[in-house]
Amino acid sequence: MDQKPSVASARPGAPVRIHSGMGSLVKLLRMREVLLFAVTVALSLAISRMTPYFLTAGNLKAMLIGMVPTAIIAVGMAIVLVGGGLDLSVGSVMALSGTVAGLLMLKGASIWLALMLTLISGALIGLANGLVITRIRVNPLIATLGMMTIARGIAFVATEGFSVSGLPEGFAYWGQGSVLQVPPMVFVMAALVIAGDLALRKTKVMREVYYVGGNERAALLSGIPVNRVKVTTYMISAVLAAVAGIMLASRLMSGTPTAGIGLELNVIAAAVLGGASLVGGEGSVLGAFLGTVFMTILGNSMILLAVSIYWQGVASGLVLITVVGIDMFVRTRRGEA
Amino acid sequence: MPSVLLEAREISKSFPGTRALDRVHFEVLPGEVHAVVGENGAGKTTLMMILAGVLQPDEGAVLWDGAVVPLTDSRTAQGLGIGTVFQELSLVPGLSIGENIFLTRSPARTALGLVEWRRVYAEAQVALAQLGIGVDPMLPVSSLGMGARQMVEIAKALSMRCRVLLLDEPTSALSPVEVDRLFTAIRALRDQGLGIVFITHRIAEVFQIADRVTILRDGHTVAMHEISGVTPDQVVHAMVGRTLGKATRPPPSSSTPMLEVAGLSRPPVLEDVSFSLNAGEILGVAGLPDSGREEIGRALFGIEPALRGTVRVNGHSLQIRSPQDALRAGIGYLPPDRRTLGLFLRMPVKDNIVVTALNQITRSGIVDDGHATIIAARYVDRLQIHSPSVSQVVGRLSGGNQQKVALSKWLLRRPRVLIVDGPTIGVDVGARVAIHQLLYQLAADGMSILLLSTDLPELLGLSNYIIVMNGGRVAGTLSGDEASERRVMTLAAGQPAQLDPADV
Repeated sequence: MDQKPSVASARPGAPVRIHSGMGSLVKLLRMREVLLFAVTVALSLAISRMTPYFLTAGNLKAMLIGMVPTAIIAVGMAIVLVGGGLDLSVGSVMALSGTVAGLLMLKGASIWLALMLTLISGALIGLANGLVITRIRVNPLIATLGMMTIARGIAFVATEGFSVSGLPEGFAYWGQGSVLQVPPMVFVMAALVIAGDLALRKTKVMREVYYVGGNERAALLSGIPVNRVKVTTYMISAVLAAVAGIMLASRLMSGTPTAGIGLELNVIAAAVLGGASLVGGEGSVLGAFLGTVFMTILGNSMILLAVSIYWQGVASGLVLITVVGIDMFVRTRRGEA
Repeated sequence: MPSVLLEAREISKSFPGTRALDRVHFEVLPGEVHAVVGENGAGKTTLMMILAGVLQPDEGAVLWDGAVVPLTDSRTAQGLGIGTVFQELSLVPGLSIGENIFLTRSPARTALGLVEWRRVYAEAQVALAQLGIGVDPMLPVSSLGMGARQMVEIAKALSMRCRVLLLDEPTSALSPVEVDRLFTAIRALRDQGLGIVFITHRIAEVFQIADRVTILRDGHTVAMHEISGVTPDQVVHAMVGRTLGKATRPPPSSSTPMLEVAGLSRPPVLEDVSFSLNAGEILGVAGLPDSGREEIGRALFGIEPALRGTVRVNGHSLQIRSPQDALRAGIGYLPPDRRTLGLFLRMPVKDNIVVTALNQITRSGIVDDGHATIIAARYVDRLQIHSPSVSQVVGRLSGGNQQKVALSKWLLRRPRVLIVDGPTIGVDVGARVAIHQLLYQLAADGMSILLLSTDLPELLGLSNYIIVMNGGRVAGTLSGDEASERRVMTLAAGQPAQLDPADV
């Protein structure tokens, strides 16, 4: 099939260049991840000049621990967004998972059994989201909004509104233990971010997610199992939300039904900052992670600079609109949008 | 000799990647029918859009009554007296004929600012009578056939007191009887002194109706003739311009049935459709919109699966319930609308090509992007896709190159049966020929091709056999030798076939 058929064209074919001539440096600078990284470094330098407390081991460690649940959930959110979906239920699933794990342990389940069951319940929630979206064709926004209130509601029903405490000592390992001076949950986050990023870039399964997000109907006509791919993304998202719930519960040594209220919007903002698009087909796990880092540093700096906590929302909103706005402006100028 | 009514002088227009018109000259006199012919992509529609004020030329001028006029939008053109009937009819089916005629403006309002419906219907009646049709203007447009809708469109233009009427391929969806009726109306309007621009690619019609003909090729005006001073062969030669290596149908290479379809049904769009396609053959499927033509492709590829009937590929009986079933059986499908169905517009050429062959470039679950690039580059080279690199976003290529990318993914996959629906819609002449020759080559290499098309020259040029659909049924089967535009259209319009039943 390599032999050239006698396709006569009106014009001689242009020579094919495999790589674009722009040079890899320019290409690198075009990537949102690089832009975001540069902005983050600049912000950090500026803050470290304004307050001596920013670049201290204690503050950095606190930030790192604080961002673990968000960063883990952002991995799943990036994948869902690339597939052209949206998952608003993640904050609630995180809270539900923490309480489920806690209740199971209080009922006498071993730690490992409790964690396994919690992850399975997360997977089932993701399956439910995925099936409602693909089979009943409910809009993802509505489906996961519904799941958001359902999961939160179950967490409240199961705990009657109280936090679940008195958990077994061994469970504290992930959030309060120490490996290389930080709790193991930081390594869980790092492993998930790295694995998630490589998977989204390199695996066939995740490549299909890009196609589905890029053009769902064309993906279907190209033989990609669109529904299965979409269900998979929601299951990944929900399982990662469950992992985040477990980590948070371990850190606090309690399962709190009110955890993570509003978290879904912060995670979506972080992923979009990192280059994900709400129409699908674009985005990366690394970008979503960097977005989370940036938002965390921004929040932290406002605390250190004694800016009222109420200004935080204003600042992160402005940053989100500005960064995405600059990117859209550049793309429009290049004629891509 | 009357003075020129509407003139396009040295008009040029470019779109990203193509020069659609290059210093084109065109004029129309009052009381003449001036045909514009050219192959798909020659620039006919672009010229018409400019004369209608929908598009603005990059260079050149439009003159009305000898004076340069800026046609900044379609309202300006209508105001001057240029009426337009586009290929895609712009009627609202749910509204009445009268309401449609006065859709964009009302003829009169009462003191309260309400529409004077009695006058609307009276004036609609006048416009319709001018065309020699006595249909009640209060009927909904949805109750009319395609021919009558065409007439309503023309009445709409007439009601705006137009002096020039632009008709873009007005006969493409009409039955022979409706065509005759339309031509009668056009002659009547011409005799009333209107200048009529008749855009078509059907040479026979030009010689039936036109007084003069302008021939466009690749965006250039190649010739303008009095119809009495030219022969159909000369017009065709001027249109095509070069020895096209004209796509010819492949010789029936084997008698091995590759695709056998029996009793395929999905009422009411498909009723008991049966046919057989041998290895290495091209089977054309003709039919008007909603005839079942497109639905055959959609059913066989599992998009809207058939409810009854059997399908055999290479002798194996199959149930096709989804595109994945069809792919596994060795069926590929090039959809009619590449932008919404065929391509991932925001993704690179490379990803668009390898999408059907992810398994080929995957080792233990990991995609080898280097391998994908090499494969994609091979097809870009083989199909002479004009793209700066395989990393180029596909949405920025021209229509013909986009279509070649969409085809590439099926070449890579090598299905036994390839269904192509409207493979050359909206592509330029060069790409059209290249795509035709590619289909021919694929058939010669043993692939079976089901060619769904409304483009009669394409069907007649490429198909070993043509089946003609009407009302979801096979209205007739014609061999490549006995098929003609007239026979296909007669069957497509649901008129009794003057055929020997033996060859059905």
